[in-house]
Amino acid sequence: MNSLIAIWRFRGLARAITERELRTRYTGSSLGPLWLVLQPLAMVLVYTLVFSQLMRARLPGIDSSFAYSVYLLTGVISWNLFLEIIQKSKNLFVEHGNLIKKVSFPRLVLYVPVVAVSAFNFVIMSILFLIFTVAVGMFPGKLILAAGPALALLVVFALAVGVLLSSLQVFFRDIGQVIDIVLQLLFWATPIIYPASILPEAVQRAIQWNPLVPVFRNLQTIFLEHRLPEFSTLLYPLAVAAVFALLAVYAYRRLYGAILDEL
Amino acid sequence: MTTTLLHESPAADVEARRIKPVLRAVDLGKAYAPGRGKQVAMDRLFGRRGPPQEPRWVFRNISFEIARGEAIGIIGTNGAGKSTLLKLLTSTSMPSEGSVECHGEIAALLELGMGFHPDFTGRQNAYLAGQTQGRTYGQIDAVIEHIREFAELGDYFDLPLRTYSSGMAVRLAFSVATAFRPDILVVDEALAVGDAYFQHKSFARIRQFLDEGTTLLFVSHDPSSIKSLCTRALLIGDGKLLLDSTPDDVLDFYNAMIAERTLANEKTAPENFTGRSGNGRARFDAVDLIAPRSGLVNQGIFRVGEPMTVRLTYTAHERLDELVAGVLIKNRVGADAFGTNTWFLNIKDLGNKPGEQRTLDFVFDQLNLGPGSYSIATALHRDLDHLGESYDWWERAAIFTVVLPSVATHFIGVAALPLQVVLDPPGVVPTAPQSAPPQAPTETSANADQAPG
Repeated sequence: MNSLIAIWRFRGLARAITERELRTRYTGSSLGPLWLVLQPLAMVLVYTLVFSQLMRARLPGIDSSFAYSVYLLTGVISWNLFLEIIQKSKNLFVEHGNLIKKVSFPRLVLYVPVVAVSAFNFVIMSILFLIFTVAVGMFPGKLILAAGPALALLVVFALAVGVLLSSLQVFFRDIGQVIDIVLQLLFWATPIIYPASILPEAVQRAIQWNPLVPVFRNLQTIFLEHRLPEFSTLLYPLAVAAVFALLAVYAYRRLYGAILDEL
Repeated sequence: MTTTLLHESPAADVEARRIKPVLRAVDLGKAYAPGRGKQVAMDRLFGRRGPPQEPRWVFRNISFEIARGEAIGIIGTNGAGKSTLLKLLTSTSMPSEGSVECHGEIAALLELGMGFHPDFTGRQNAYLAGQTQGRTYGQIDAVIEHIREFAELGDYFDLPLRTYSSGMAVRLAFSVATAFRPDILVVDEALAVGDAYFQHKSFARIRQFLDEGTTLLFVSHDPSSIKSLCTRALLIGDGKLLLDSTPDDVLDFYNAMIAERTLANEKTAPENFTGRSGNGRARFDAVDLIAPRSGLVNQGIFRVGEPMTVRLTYTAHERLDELVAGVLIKNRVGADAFGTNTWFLNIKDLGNKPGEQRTLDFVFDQLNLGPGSYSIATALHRDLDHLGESYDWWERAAIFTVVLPSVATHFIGVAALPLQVVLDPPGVVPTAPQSAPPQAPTETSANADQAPG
């Protein structure tokens, strides 16, 4: 609770770092802030054109040439949110070492820009994606609000993992490499690019252990089947996220003093 | 831009100080485990608390209290732990043992800068730095013009920080750190980078803050700025708090310490050390300086007028009936300050027990030397002086420093001469012819004995 008050008191700092992160991406370029949109736009276009038109990929059971694109984008955009938060948090202490060593302020403030920048990118992509769904007649309407719990869970999960990693990364630099591999495995162990139905029975059962599966299933249900997902399936990922959160708090508290010495 | 201060009567002020120090260090200690971060992290994760294993202590057991409005100078040689201490006090580093209590807001200028970002302009960095202090955008907006004016950066204020000289960066940092009057201002050698003009300006601002009740923690190698700003000084060295006293006392002690270190380095110069000569028929085994009052051996620092014993341990390897031992005290530049030997003192039978280790004490009741650094040369030789036959001549066998006992007894020179000063002493007849009858002279005598016993 105290740390939440502290974060509020230092909201100016959080905002300043967020602005700085966004601005550094395009300072010196002539197109400026336009780049923040162009990159995600390219991604949306590639996925839709390449997969739905060139490769004529179809989702089994749904009769729409754009269904696979929607499936793919739902997963990839949400995955990017998850991935970006973890990857930005990972090096947080190392990256802000100069500031941390010289000024005393609540360190947790530094995670606010991480979430804010990732969320900003996510929102831009989502807007492009939603425009696309409207264009191909697959906009789910009011149902998009039902994506809230799954997305919130995704953010909390990513943040918990991110805080844990950032504390460990200061000492064990290999973690950064290891986690990149783990994340890639996790990506392919989650039905994002492919539909779960194409997997053999045994594999389908096996990936149920992956806490991300229900989260993405939730989102895909909303955008493809246009119906309310089963929120109860989110309890398992919630529990896993909670475990990571506790581990993160434990590691951060225990290591804090040593982190300052090590930086 | 500065917050108004409650007007307090001096009495109330004193009372308040007694009740609540603004900063308190209790048994503070800091240890690092360089190069073993992984091990430390594992220990921490699996339950071990406290200092790391195989710690390298920067210092231990440092305790002090600082009252509101005090100006503390922190002095010590490079690597003594001054910066580490400031980091602990500003919680940019966590103590390995002990604790820090801080009641008030700290603004710190540590190691040139406040975590500035090189790609952002001075203005942007000023906002950012202000925000790391917990200020809102609006609050900084209100003072940004003052910051710009005080830093005197001109056009550079809106140019990226990487184009700045180090002096400019410091000017910006100081201006930002002092834009709001903090309860505690911490300045770590940063100001040394600024030019004389800016130093004057920043000292003026620091003084103004001090008048308004800010507490100052100031690290500097410049004695004059410590003397002029600080009301108290802490000397850190040898892994502990060596002295907590007035700036004058601490600086005297510190200067003596440095002088001693310089000599010690000369002394330990390897290979080419040729300070020892003689044919070795008798040889010193050890030369020790003892402070009889404390019993400390070779602690190296004596106050003016304190007793000192030079203990010579030697062995004559054959019977030497005319063996003479001598000591010679030399000052920093090598000039003889005092020397004598057993021939002059008429002490005999030094060499009548061959092969046996013997001890000879030269006891100085009062070390009436001026403050400074001294070395002792000792000699074993035949007759009168070493020109006859030298058995062992040991240049710089021991080194010590003489310091003033207190500022009140200040004097200059190489000798501390016991002295009485008497104004209009009785029995002196005025020489000038006077019409008025001579008055009984009033006696004012100042005892300026430089050797308090």
